[in-house]
Amino acid sequence: MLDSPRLTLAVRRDPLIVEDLRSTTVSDDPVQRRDLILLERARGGDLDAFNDLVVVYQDQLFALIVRMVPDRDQASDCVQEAFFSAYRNLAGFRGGSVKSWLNRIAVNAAMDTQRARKRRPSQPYPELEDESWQPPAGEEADPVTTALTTERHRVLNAALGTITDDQRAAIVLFDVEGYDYQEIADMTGVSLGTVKSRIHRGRLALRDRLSDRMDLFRG
Amino acid sequence: MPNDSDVRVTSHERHDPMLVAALAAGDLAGPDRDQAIALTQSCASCASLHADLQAIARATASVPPPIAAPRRDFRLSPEQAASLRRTGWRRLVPSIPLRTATTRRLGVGLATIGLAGLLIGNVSFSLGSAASAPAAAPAGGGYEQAPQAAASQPAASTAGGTESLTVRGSANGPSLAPALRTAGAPDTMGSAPSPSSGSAYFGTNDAASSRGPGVAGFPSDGGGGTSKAEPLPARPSAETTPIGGSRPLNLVFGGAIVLGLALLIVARRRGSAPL
Repeated sequence: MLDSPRLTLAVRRDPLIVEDLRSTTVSDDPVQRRDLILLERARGGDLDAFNDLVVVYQDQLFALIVRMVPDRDQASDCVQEAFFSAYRNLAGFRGGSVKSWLNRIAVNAAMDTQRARKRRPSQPYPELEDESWQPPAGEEADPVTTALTTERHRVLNAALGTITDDQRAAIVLFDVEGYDYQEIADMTGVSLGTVKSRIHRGRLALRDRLSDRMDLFRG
Repeated sequence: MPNDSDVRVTSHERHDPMLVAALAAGDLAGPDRDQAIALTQSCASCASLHADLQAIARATASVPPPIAAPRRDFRLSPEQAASLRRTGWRRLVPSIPLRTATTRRLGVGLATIGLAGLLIGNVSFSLGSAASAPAAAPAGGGYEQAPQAAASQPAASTAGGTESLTVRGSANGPSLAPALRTAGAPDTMGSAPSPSSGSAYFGTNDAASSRGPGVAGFPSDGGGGTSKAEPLPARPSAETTPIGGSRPLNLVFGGAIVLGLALLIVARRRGSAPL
C-alpha cells in the first residue's frame, strides 16, 4: 500500500502540514506515517483510504468504547458515530496521532451516549451479565490459572459497569489505554484535578464493590 | 474505655481514603506523600486499602473488553460518505481557529452582552417614553396637556433631532394632540407647514421627516390644507423618542445574540467531534 504510485502522488502534491511537536516526533513511526498518508488521501476525497483507517482501528475503538458503554449495540453505535464524525471533520485534523484523534472522537461519542442514557435510564448494561464470551487463554496457562484469571476479569468488568460513567471512562483511559492525566483531561474536557479525582474515587468504588472478592486480586 | 480494636476502627474511619488512593496512584509528592506513607505504615486498614488499590489498578490494566469484537462493519458506503460531506457554510466551521472552550465562552459572552444590551436599551427607552407618555397620550383629555408636556420635553426632542420644540398657533390648542394622523396628507408635518395656515403643531422637522408619510400630523380644525384628520391610539414616544437612533443598536445587540448562539452550537458540535 505504501508503495503505490497513487500514494506517492498524493503525498507529493499536498504535503502534510505538521503543526504540533508530537506529530514531528511520531512521524518516523511507520504506523503513524501510514495513518497520516491514509488520512491525507481521505481528505482528498478517497473514501477507500478512509475505510482502510476504519478497518485498522474499528476493533480497537470498539474495545475501548465497549468498556465505557458495555452494551454491544450501543457501543457499536458509538463507534459508527465516531467514524461518521471523523469523516465529517477530516479537514479539522491538526496533526498528531491519528489513533489518539479517533480515540478522542470515540470517547466523546461514548460520553454523549452515556449522557443520553442518564436522561433516559433503562436497564443496566445487560452484556455484563453475559458470560458466554471469555477472552482466549494462552496455551501455556493451566486450567486453574485460566479459571482464576477469567473469574477476575469477569468480576472486574462487572464492577466497572457499576461505577459512574465518568469514573469508568477515566479509569479505562488511564489504566487500559495508557493515556496520561493531561491527555484524558483534554479528551473529556475537564480539569486535570478532576481526572485524578475520578480515577481515585473510581478505584475506591471498585474496591468497595469487590470487597468480598479481593482474594482474586491479591497475590 | 474502648478497647484497642474500637480505637483502630475509629481512627481509620477518620483517615482520608483519597489520600491513600492518590498514594497508590503515585500522584503525591512532598508532605502529602509523607503523610500518606505514615498513614499506611501506622494503620493496617490504610495499608490494606493501599495494596488493594494497587492490585485493582494492575488488574484493570490487563482486563480484556467485556465483549468480543464487533459484529458490524463500520466502513462507510459511498452514500453515507456523500451525506456526511460538508456543504455550504458548514465547510467554514472547521476552519475557525478556536478551541471548543474558547468558542463556548465567546458564545456565552456575546449572547449575554446582546441580551443585556437589548434589555437595557429597550427598558431605558421605555422608561423615557413612559415619562413623556402622560403628556403625549391623547386618551383621557390629553389634548389640553399636550403642549405643556411637549414643551417640558425639549431634551428628548433635541436628543433625537436638532431642533427645540416649537408650538404654534396655540389658539387652536385642542388640536395639538400628538397622536393624530393626517390621512390623505402624508407630508403635512414633514414639509413644515406654513405658519400662516393657522395650524398648530409641535415637533421637529427631522423627527417629522423620519416618521415618513402620514405619520404624526395633528392639524387644527382649520386644517392647514388638511381636510380630514383621524385620531389614533396613543403613540406616546413617536414625537420625543429617538427611535431611529436605537435601531442600529438593537441590530447590533441582536446580531451579538445570534452570533453567540451560533458559536455555542459550533462549540457543541466540536465537543462531540473534537478537531
